Amino acid sequence: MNANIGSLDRQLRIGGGFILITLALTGVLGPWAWIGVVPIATGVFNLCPLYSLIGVNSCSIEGIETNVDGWSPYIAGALVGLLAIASVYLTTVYMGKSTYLGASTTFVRAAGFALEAVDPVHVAENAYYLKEKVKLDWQFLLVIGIFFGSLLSSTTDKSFKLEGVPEIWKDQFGPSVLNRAFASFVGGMIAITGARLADGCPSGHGLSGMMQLSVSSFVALALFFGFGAIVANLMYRKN
Amino acid sequence: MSTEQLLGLFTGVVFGFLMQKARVLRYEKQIGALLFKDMTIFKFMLSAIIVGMFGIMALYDLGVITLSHKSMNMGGVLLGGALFGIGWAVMGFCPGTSVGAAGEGRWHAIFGAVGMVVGAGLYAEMYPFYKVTVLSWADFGKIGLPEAMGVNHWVIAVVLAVSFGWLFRWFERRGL
Repeated sequence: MNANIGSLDRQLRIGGGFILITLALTGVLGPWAWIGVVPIATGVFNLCPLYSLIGVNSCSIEGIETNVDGWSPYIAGALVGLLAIASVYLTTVYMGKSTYLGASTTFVRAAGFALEAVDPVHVAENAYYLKEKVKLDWQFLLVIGIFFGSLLSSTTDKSFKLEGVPEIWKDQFGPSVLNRAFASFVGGMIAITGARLADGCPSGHGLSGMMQLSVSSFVALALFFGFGAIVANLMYRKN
Repeated sequence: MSTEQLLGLFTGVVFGFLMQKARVLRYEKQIGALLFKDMTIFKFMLSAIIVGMFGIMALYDLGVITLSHKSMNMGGVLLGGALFGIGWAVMGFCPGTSVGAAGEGRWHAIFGAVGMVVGAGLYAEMYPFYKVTVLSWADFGKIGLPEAMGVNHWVIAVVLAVSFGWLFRWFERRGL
């Protein structure tokens, strides 16, 4: 078998493996965290059996080394999986409640804050704001963090780009910034209504709910992609 | 800042960093996924699900964490899921990625984020109405697939992981 692990991939495996073993040694995580020896071994030997099985080779994915195309979505995704695990564990320990990645409730709280400035009594009496509680909670800071994480990543690898109208939109609907802004705004209104009715978005249902094997998340994610695909195909139909 | 807020901020920064590195925050990638022409977002999400699923189940079995299923409310999930899909395609971002896209300079995403704040405000006003209509039709509660199917959660997880692996193989072979 030939080597099939690129250099960044190797560093991530070895780094992640050591973190797991450290957490197992210190008793923060249970003995299962000794599984960290597996990524270390695959990293040291530059050989991942799972990659061979599914035909992936991270040496050949140039983007991993050059930064131009970013990291392999498999690796970045797997790291988000580790982040999700660490985050559920840490919120349980430090906040006393297992809290999962999500984003859409934050928009309700943001609306609550905005309305509070105008009519605080109304917010205090609204059943939905009472239910979701208008405060700068864990998820609110998480959403703010997403902005800064993306800013940090894109400015350090020079992929930051000011864009008012995406290229594929321009080809299909023209260069008007106003049209794009209007669609973005209206789409946002529709999407958040859906996310609040379904009680989650691709983060809350798509990632967190699927990881927990929630029935509602399988249904919601299928509908997200199903209806999204129908509308996207209608929008980008070749004339 | 409280511990809760610091923890949220740190988690968000890492999450945003990783999404940007995977290039899933871009309009082209979001629409590409919905047109089934660019599977980057699927690769990213399904990889996260595989890893997260095993870790969360292990922590759950050890009694360290609790699960937090979202309710299988028929009207809410069906109508909400459909509406979300429509809005997602029109906006070109989901709630988390709209904020991330703005972070890498794609400022048209900000209009989507503002639209979501306005939409969330309208939802809060309409909530009493939704509560007695759409959300009151049928609620199967906070159920997981293992209880619903009567199958051990590890079995389901392994089946899912293998299926996702086959999907990855298929994506790579077709160059998607």
